[in-house]
Amino acid sequence: MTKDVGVVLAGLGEAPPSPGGSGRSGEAMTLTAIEAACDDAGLATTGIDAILKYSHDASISLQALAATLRCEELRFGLEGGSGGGTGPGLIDTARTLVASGAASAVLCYRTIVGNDWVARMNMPDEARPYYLDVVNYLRPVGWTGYLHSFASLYSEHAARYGTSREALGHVVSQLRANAARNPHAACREPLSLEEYMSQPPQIGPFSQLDDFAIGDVAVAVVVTTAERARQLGRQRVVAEVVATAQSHNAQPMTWFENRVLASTQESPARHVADELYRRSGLTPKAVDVAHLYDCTSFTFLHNLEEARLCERGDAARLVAEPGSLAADGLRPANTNGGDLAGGYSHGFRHLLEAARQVSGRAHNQVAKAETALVMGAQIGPTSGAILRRREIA
Amino acid sequence: MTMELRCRVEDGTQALAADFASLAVEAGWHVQACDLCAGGCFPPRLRCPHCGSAKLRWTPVGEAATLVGVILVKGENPRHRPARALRRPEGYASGIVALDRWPDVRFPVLIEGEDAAIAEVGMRVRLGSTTVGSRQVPSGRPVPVR
Repeated sequence: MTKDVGVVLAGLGEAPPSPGGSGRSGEAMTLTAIEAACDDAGLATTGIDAILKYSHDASISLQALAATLRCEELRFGLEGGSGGGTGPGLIDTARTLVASGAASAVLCYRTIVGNDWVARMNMPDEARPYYLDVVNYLRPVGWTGYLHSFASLYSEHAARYGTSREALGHVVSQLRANAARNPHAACREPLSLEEYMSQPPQIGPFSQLDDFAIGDVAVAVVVTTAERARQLGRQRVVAEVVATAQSHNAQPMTWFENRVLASTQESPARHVADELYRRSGLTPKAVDVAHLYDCTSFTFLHNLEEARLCERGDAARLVAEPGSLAADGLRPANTNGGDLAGGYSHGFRHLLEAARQVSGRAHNQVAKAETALVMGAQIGPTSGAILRRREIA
Repeated sequence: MTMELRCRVEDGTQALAADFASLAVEAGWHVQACDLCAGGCFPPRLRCPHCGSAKLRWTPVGEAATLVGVILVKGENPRHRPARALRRPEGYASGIVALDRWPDVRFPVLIEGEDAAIAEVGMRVRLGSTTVGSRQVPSGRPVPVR
């Protein structure tokens, strides 16, 4: 564990989602988000000395980006390839770099050109670690894509806890309601449970309504020390990175044999959540707002349980409570609509929204939000982070 | 005498996939078993996930298994399309089974026809083969409860 030297998200920026096929290039969106994040921090792009990004994007290469930003000295560059588990993992790495002095201002970002990404997701790819050998073993028996994998997990969860499509409908309906309060959400139309249930399922329990909203989006954050952020002088309140954790457990590679449900004591997300609580000294009760990876409705539902925000098997009851996920609800979560309704960012926008919440800058603000939890995918490899409000002026 | 079916781990994962497919045609479906720790695994690996040994052999899956995951696929959308040979009006189900012979090993199967609609987690299935397009794939048929 890294010694806490007060690492913060000093700058937040995004090129907000627009419909897939918006015509915006990945490069243009990346630069828009990065320039906004640097401006938010009060930092010239030349001052960035480390860059961390997701692999598999349609954006500019790390080296070309450093040249474009005119970084004076890039000390560190890395691409993370853990899919929906990457986001907080980038912050974990950035935190280590900053805390150790190996870098002073770390840029982390994610760019997705929606339709391009969907094509890539359903394209068997040996280089993608969490899709080990789909071509040879899963596609022949009818595997259609990532939705198929989460449907398999759902079937086990449903058999064990009696989870139903109604629970998934409540998730979609509630996150749509949160998205309606976010002017930069991709899918802001309300959806009733009746409308949800009227759509016939196609892949296991899922219809298209359970699948993430496609958008073209770029999100960037600047990670530095609280002291540096104070010197830059742009923000009075920022999000401090209180704890980060990653899990690359023994079976991170194959979704269909994943023991996420078979092992009730240890799943990748549960491991990450427990590490976060242990390292921060906080408990789930201290979480004012949660931002949980939600590429599908079930992913969100399952993450509620694995992050200990409710008991295992109890998430369906929680989401059935009207408004329970709203900013003023029982368990505020994915207040920007998440990726499910807000627009797919591979979970990186969750970090942006969490930082906005604890620094009081969110559109759908949770009153007096001090502490935010961010969780990646419930399968491994994954990662998580706890952010907390910090005044630096 | 039983033929010893070594796993060609030195030739990489694609060699294992090729052997898996050819074995299916010649001798039925197989998973890997470790000489050192006697553990089983699937999908095929270059090293035993239990002990790290490279001394792996192919071993038959057997005929009996239990469904631990079921995905009924009916219809399609632009983001999720079944393989062309599986685009059928009645749909199909993808199943994940736990093998009787290797309870810790999970194995994917295709469930077709009327069986697809009734398949559910916990159901006993008999393993076999079916042809999809020009390819032989593992199948599962629910076993009626007596």
